[in-house]
Amino acid sequence: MASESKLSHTAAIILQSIDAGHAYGFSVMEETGLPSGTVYPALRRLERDGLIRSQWESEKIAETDQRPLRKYYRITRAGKATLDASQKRYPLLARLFPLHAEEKA
Amino acid sequence: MLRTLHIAILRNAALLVPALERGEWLAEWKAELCYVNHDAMAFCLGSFRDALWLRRKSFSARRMFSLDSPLRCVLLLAGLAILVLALALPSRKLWLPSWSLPGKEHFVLGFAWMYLLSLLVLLTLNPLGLGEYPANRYAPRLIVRLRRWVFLSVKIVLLVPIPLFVCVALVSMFPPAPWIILFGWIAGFRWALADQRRRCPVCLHLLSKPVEIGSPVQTILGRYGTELICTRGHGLLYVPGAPTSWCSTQRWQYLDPTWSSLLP
Repeated sequence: MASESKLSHTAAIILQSIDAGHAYGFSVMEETGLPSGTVYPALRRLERDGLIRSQWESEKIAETDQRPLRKYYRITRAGKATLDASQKRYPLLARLFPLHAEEKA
Repeated sequence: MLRTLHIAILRNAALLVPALERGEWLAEWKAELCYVNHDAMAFCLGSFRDALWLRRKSFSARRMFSLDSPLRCVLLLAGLAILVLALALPSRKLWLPSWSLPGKEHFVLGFAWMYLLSLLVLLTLNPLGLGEYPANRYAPRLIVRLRRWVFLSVKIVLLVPIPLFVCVALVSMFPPAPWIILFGWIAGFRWALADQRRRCPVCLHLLSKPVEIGSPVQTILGRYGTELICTRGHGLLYVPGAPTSWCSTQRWQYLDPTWSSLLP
């Protein structure tokens, strides 16, 4: 619960973005409009707090798509609980990513 | 050309990242850079903030002041000596002129006498022996074994000015207190010996993972003491719980190189 109360608005947006399926750093940047110097340290902080976890994708997938390897971030159960608490605190958060809301519905 | 510049920026930022995380950190930023189609320079400059955050995360006072590494130990002692010297500098007028006075020999002799006195007091309080380090076929070369003596000497040399300058720094506030120097040296030398006894004679790092062996009631018929290990696999140190006729002091045992693969 301590991490729930400490989540800043920016961190909540990034967490919401990851939950919406924007799973690697640059896609989070594009979606949120936040600069790299904000997004990546926030990702580290969220991972340190156990709200997200990262994993490099397999080389085969990257080779097939002919692009560099991506480090994907996934929201954890604790992250989900924190996000739910943050949505109550920041009511407009859930509306930031309407596509995700539709998917959920 | 620009791509090379961007990679160079990332590589420079990577220098701020702790060594263990550097490879993965750089791989992630380089991979992400491939997706950036506008304002790549701003993207790359953001990496410094990320690298600084990782550096701050890795920093902790406990690690900074840990004496585990011999280099860090020497640097901390040197830093402390410089710090007390800086504190003593405002009072330099009180002690620097003594070098130009005709009685400066007495000044030097006084300190030499106090130095010897502290060694004598130390000898009565504490055994000076560092333990037994019998060489076996896994023992390193003589030059490597000599390093521990060099390390001990450096520690002792660095410890000499610390109580001296503390005393000088306090002269402006209190009357001269030579006992600070005496007790400072005794405590410092005692620490230097105790620290030396807990170090691996090969890599000079502090030994860890203490394991208690036996129990006090088995002092006569069995082993009772503590065993410490060098996490780099250089050897084991057995410290007897109570000195006996067959094991009066701590004893080091060099291990064969296969041990290093068993340790994390």
